[in-house]
Amino acid sequence: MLQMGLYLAALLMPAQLFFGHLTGDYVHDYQPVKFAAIEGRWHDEQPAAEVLFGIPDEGTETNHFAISVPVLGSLVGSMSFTSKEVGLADFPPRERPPILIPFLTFRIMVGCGLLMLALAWVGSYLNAKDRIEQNRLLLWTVFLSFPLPFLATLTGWFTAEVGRQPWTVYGILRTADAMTPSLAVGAAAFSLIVYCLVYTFIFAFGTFYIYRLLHAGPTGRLILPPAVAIPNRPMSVVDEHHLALAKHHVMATHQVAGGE
Amino acid sequence: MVMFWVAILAISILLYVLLDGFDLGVGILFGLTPDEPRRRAMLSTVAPIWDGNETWLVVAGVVLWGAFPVVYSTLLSAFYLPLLLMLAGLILRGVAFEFRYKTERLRWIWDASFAGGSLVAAFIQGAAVGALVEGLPISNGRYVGGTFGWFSPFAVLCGVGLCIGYSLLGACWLVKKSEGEVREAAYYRLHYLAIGLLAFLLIVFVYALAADLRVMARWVERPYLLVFPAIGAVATIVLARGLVRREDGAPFYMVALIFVAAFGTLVISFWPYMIPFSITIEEAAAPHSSLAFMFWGAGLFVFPLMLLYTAISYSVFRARSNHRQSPISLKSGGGPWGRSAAADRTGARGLVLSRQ
Repeated sequence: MLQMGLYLAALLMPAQLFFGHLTGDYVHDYQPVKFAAIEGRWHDEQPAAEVLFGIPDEGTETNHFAISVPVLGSLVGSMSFTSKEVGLADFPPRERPPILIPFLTFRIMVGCGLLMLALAWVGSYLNAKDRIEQNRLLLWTVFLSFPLPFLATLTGWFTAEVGRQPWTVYGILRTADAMTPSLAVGAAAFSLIVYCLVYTFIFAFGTFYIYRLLHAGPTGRLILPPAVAIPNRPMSVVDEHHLALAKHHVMATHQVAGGE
Repeated sequence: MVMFWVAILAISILLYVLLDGFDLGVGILFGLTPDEPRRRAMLSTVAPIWDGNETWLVVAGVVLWGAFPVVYSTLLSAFYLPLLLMLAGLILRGVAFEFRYKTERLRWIWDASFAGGSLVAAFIQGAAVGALVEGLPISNGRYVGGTFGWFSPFAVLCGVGLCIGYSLLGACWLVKKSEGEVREAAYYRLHYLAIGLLAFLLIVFVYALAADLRVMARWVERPYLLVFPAIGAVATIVLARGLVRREDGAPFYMVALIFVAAFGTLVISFWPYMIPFSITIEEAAAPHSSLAFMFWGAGLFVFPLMLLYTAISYSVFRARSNHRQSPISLKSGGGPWGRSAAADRTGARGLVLSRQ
């Protein structure tokens, strides 16, 4: 199970990153403001540097604590060493999205992606060398990495949606104009609170249940369904297998106790 | 082209009401059933198909959005809070299917979400239809009623009515799909629910007469349209006969027919309006180019494909789901994929599957 997961991830993670890069090219060409916000680039640069990390400040139009790599920005944006890359200052402030959120969420997303790539490749390598079972550190890291894809999806969503502002339909319909005319502030606030509560509630439990499922680990061999289909939930096989194992364990303990 | 999308919309809404209707109904009845083995048995009758049923709500929503954007925006503005609560209910009841088996101590939370979510979703769908029948406050093609403009005693009445209707559909499904205690309990409730639904329809009719609702005018103008209510009446009689003779399959189809008749009645009452007496179908339709664009993809391929997989999943899981603790067994002829009519008529309905 672990092997299959690692090998799949080792192949799929680069594919995912490649498609992410294609999406980035699309944003670069068609939504230049969003791209500049994600890059944290305030002014036009040629060749452009890539801000690896920093805290963008909309007041001063600069990045605090910035760590930049020269030329990498042009390479990321246009696959060239010399290209000119557009900065946020080219757009009036009312055409710009909030900068901080897409800037940070994008970095979290890419970070999750690179981390998963590293885990998948190191894990596959160790697995091929038959050394994975001795490497407790890697096994634990892989186990604890289960929230990464969810985190990457969510932060990616934040990047896309916040970065798209102030438009609902990019360049055509502003978010302020897309509002339901009759929508009262109270109703809107209430709906936001309800969504947050419901999602927090089910995500908290969901994460916990996934954790427990992983903690129990794959037990025994792959469970094949019986020859005739049983109308039930997909996950029911797992539940019953665990339940059966637990029962078996209890019975075995009883027998030992009885034998003495 | 407009009529094509009207037809698709009508089919999607009807399928949603019939399919999700019974599994929301099973959810409501689940709340009235205290013991665990029966709850498990009830859940397993809908577990393989409930999420497929809810796709039809998405289809209906998307068709409204793409083909009738005016109606979509008006309805979502008018029912902003109730639809929000309906979605929350559907989300909570959806996760409950899996989550309740992950815990024993906190199972009551998910059982409450399942029953409560089903009840809220059913109530709100009924209330929304009630508000539409009574007429929403709309001027110049825009909803002007504010946050609670949809709320009225009649809407509440219709909400309660649909809860009864869905429960009835759910009870019929359980009679058709389960065995032993669960089936007996469903039969017992079926009688009360059927009487409750008839009483509700009678009250609505009297109310509509008394309040002189505009929808009634059409029935006076064209009495031949009474064929739909007549179908409903015939279905009710066959339902009563099926109950007396305890034919397990009949009640579900008859109640489904009553729902079809009620839906047809509503459509005829509304025609040619989509939102009664303010927005007609022609006014609501998207430009021809949009409708044609969707026709070549969603209309011509996706929709038939969805109908096909719905039919396939129901035929795969057409057997009774037996939950008694006995080895996996095949009773009666037909084999696992058998379609023998004789097997379908016998008590075992083709194959009886048990989980160990």
